[in-house]
Amino acid sequence: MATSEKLSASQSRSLKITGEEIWKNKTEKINAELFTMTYGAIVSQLCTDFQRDYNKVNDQLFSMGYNIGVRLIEDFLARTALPRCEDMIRTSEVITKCAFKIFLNITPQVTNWSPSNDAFSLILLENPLSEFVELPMDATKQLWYSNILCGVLRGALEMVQLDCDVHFVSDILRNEPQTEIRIKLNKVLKDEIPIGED
Amino acid sequence: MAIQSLLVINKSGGLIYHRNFDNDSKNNSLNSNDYLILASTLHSVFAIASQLTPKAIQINQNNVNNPNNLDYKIPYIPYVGMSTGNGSDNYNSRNGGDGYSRNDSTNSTNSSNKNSKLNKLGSFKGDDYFKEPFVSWNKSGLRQLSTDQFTMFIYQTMTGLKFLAISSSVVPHSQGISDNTQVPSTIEKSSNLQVQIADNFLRKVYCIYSDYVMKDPFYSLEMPIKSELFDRKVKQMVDNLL
Amino acid sequence: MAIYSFWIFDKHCNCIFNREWTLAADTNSGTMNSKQNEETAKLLYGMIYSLRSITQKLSKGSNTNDVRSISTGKYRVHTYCTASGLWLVLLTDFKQQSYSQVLQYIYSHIYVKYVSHNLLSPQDFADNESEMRGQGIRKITNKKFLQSLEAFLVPMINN
Repeated sequence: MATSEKLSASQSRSLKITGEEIWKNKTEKINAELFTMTYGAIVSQLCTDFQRDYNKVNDQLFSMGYNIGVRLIEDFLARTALPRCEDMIRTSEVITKCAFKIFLNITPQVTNWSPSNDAFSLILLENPLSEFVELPMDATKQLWYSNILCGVLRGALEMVQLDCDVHFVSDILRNEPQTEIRIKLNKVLKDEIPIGED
Repeated sequence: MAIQSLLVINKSGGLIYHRNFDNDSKNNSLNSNDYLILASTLHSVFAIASQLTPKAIQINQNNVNNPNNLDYKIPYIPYVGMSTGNGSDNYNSRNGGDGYSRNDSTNSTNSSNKNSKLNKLGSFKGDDYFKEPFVSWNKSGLRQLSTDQFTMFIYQTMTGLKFLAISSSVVPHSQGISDNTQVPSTIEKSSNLQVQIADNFLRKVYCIYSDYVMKDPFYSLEMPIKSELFDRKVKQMVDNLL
Repeated sequence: MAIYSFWIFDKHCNCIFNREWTLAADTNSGTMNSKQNEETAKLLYGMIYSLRSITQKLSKGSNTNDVRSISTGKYRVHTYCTASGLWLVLLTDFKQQSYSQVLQYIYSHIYVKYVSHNLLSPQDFADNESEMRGQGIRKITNKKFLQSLEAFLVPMINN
């Protein structure tokens, strides 16, 4: 028991180091304000285009994120060459310590594990997409501002043969206590696993 | 190691990229249809190869303490496919041919000028795409095919994409009867090294793919790659490998 | 364990001999000409056949180009194809790069001696039309052949 715990502790430390090292030395950076404002422009334009039908905006953000995710996973794999994760626990560690660190320089916390260890929540303590944002009154009930993140996660996980449901549970922008995303594994797409891995 | 051709096969076995790098026209007797058939045949042979794993290996796999357990780790081989030393000089001379000129004559040896290095590796900062050893995702599928005239290497990613390199370097096959104990270890080391160089090279092609193909919003997934930037970068890497 | 199995295919796409070793410690282990290996034999034949035809398509010039070895992450296949349509196939590990002289020796000193030069042993293992094209079941059972093959290959198994 003790040795397997030690092993996973050292594995998660090495994930952290990988993530930090790539963020620091291997990726180009842009101005954070430019990033926040670009995303804000997208969301506000979508709200105008859909005439404030926030459900449609949520769906559109999700599908945009999905398209990003299916492509971003290749960048992530080419950069890190990490082996396949054995279970959702390891998957959650790779997502928070490596992926979020490399692309957004944040490390969400993982909590609320389901009893069968196939669903967990990410708590985002800071969210670079919504730095200076305040939602209008009618949006606070319906809009998930950072829904693009859910799409990215779903698309990326699907390309590594994990069919997951990803959705927001709460958002600080809506005057809720914390920003929480829930990821739940539906099934492993066994038929699509590339032949040659064991 | 001279690369003759590069092929990229998507996860359903369709050919999405093919390029010949040797300029002799005598080998261009295959048309694009032939290459499509070739790609799908290789895709299926790749799968068959994983089913032919000998029983002895399957038995030993369950024995965790077996000292002969296969090691799938591939060491990092520095600067495979990267231009050497005075980076900008080589970069210039190789780019002269395709109309992409850089007036870098003033800062050709100025390594502190980051601008000329900015676009060198796309979104990968630094002087090489990656610098650590990595574990191969391709454990039991086809990896290498050696023939008398060429060697073919296959690199498969976790998303099912396959990168194939056909190289004109040939693995030496000793002639004449010899004692097994006398096979020089340099031959084994060099062929192991070949596979490792190929894996390093193909992983870098994967990095270039993740940049110039994945990040092009007008590229549809699983479709043939028609990106000139991708072509250019790959040609540059192949030239550097000579 | 250096050598895993040895196969011979003839020009009618039949597997006329196979020998598989399963335990490193016991060189008498494994199977010889076993029926369970029929599936594997067909897959192996198919794989080598496809790769040979790909190789021929990709070859240039008039020099004959033949497949020498096929590697996966776990094992390596060495092939030796004669002009008479006979294929000798060896599955091994990665310690040695080329077994072509081993296969040449088996062909010239064991197969030719005990099968081809033996007038009482069938030269063509397919008796009639129905056994061509991969449906034949006859195997080499010549004792001298089996003995000299074992004597030659067994010392190499645990290299």
